[in-house]
Amino acid sequence: MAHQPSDTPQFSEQAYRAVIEHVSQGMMVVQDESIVFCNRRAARLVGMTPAEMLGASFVARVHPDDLAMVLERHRKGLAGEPVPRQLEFRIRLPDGSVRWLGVSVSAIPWNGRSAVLTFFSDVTDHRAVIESLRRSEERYHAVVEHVGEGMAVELDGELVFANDRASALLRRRDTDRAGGALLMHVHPDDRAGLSKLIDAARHGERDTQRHELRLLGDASAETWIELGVNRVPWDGREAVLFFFSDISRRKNLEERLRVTLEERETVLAHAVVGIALLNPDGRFRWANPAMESIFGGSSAGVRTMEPFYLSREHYLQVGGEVAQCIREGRAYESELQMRRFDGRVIWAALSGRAINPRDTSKGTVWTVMDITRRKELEVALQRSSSEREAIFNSALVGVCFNIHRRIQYVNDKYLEMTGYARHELEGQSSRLFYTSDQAYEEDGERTNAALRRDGDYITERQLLRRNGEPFWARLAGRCLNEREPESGVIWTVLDITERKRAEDDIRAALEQQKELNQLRSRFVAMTSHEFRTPLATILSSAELLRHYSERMPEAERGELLASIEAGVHRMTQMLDRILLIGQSEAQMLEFRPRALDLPRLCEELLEQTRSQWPATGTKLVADLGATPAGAMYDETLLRHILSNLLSNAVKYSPDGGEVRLRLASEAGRTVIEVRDRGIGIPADEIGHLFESFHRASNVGDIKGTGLGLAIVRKAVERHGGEIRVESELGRGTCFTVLL
Amino acid sequence: MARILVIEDEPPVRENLVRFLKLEGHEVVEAPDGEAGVAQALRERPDLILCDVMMPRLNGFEVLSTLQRDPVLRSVPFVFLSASAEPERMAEAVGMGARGYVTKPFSLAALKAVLQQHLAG
Repeated sequence: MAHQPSDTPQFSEQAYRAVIEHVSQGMMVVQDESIVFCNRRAARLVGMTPAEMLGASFVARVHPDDLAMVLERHRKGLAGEPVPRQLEFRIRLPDGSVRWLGVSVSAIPWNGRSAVLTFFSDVTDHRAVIESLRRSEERYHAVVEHVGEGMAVELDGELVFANDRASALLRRRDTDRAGGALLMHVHPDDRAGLSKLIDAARHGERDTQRHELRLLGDASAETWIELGVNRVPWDGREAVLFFFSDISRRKNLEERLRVTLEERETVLAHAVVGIALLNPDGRFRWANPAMESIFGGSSAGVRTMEPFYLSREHYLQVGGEVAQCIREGRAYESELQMRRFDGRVIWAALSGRAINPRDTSKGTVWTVMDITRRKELEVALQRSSSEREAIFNSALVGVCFNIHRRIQYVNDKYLEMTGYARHELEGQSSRLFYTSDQAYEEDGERTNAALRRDGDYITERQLLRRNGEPFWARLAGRCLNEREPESGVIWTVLDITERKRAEDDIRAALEQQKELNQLRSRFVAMTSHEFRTPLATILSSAELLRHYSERMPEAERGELLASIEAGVHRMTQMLDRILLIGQSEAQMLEFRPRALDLPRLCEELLEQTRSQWPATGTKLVADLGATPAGAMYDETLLRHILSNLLSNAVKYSPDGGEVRLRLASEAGRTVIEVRDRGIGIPADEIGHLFESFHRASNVGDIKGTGLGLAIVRKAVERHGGEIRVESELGRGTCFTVLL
Repeated sequence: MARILVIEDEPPVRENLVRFLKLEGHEVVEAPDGEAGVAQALRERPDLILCDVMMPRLNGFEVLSTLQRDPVLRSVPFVFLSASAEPERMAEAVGMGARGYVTKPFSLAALKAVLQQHLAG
């Protein structure tokens, strides 16, 4: 059946109205900006009744933001200008809400005049969906483009998509986003691996692993990426999606860490210091080889450090100290004795600290050093220095170390010698041992000069003790550095006061001995002479009698016999005198005092002396007074006194003169005085005058034994008396005996 | 027969010497000390002198050295008689020009031998 447009079927008014009213779109006719017709749908979409719609201004309902656009469109439509049939704009409903309308417009004749037929529907929900789609699209792009990971899609061996990050990693410009395979950007060594991954992905194997490989780049800086491969649909075909990230930095860090760890490992393994990590419970976590070598064995089976301690108590004690240190956030450090596997005890420097001071559960780190050798040296040094100190202090010689004459060190003996306490001396000037500044200065100059010249100096001098008492010291000084007194001087000091005294005594004794020897040899010479002379007489007389007696008259023979007797008598006398001295020196002199007629005895001995020296030119004069009443004397001793004094007076007056014997009584004492005009006695010899065998130096050839005056003194002393002598050389001598 | 001077301060010794020398047939001159001895020597011109050492007024050595200065007496045999037996004194005496040294006590036989020795010439 053919339908012609002109053959428009004739519908009833009611039929049109039914169509119009049930159409799903709003429909209205606008003429002269007023709504002249609308269906119910239109009224409902706009939120009015159809009656309200008719005659209302549609424009007034349009959203202000869209009004300009709508009016322009309307004007163009009416003017017959081409306009898009479809447009969307917003209207405001009476309840204030805003709805989007999708509108299509066409011009129609209405009641003979031009009008606008508008079909519209509410497109608000549709627009919301579109909007959210658009936003989603935007977000997707933002994510893809701004994601840290590179993303690229490869289709048939060509990269067809790469985000910015991927491009940057692959060092491609935007214009090169497509083209070339990823394989060509990968380090040749890693290409085989990548091919496998791509093949696997194409075959649909799901691979959630990430793979590390290198991209081609500068030789200086390799770019490491971590790559994931997936199969994805792309434009309806199978493509491969790569997502990858740059891990060069991590790789570098890893490499550096590996090197560092290797280095540390090497250091720890080769360290001579034993290093161990212990768990909080004290069990070994790790130990380096040095630990084993220090303790001399395998640490296998050793769980804690306990076996290295001397005892369990030792272990616990150190453990307690360590715990204390760790609690206080300090490192534990100590030198202690530990035990090796072989049982040998070593000295160890042990230090321990928490691996993490804030978290003790991380355990502790320990270092151990074998310091046995050092410790032994220390001990030896300490022993030897304390030994030296002991030696210094027990030395019997004072030791003192001075710098610039200031006392730096003294030993005990030095203190004992000087009477000071150590603190009173150390740091002080040695001036305090001297009596004066002058003595101190002079001594210093002398000492300094000698030390500079010879390097050492030995002297004996008097120093002062603390109490001011002087003592003799023998000082020996030596520079610390050769001939440099400034470097300090070590002095050894001996208290030689006793020695000095002994020396003096010995010197005196030697002097005395020398004198005695001289006296003895003189005595031997004298007595020899004194004996030989009478012996010569005796022998010659005897021989004359033997050989010539028949040719001699009787009288001469008598003389010879008498001379023999006289010689024997003389020798006997001499022997008596020597014996007397011997007895007196042995305190065995006989003393039998009795009343004695002293003047008569004096007369007798004066006469004896005269007869003994018949040829003398001296004149013996007596001045004999009374003696004290009741005085008692030993006659033998008194004879010795008188005969010796008188014969000496004559003998030592070779040029004659008067010898006067005075006897008197003065203050109840007997005074016997013998005065001569003889040779006298040297003044400095008077002290020795009464010593046995001593003879004055000016006696010349005058014979004598040196016994006479010694006997006189002994005899006087035996009487409890005293003897005095006054003498002037060449003028005479006077002996006075007081009994 | 010779003229002998005896210088000796000890009388008994001097007397015995004089006695012995005379008995032996000599002419004897005597002096009791050194000074007297020198005087006698100069005056008497003895053939031999016996002289003690230790004497007052010039000892034996002084007598000897005095006599040594006389051109004639210096050649007269001079023999010491000494109570000292010290050998160094004998050496000293010989060094000074003494011909002999007889130590007291002396035997007459020894003295006679000394005289014979020095009077032989």
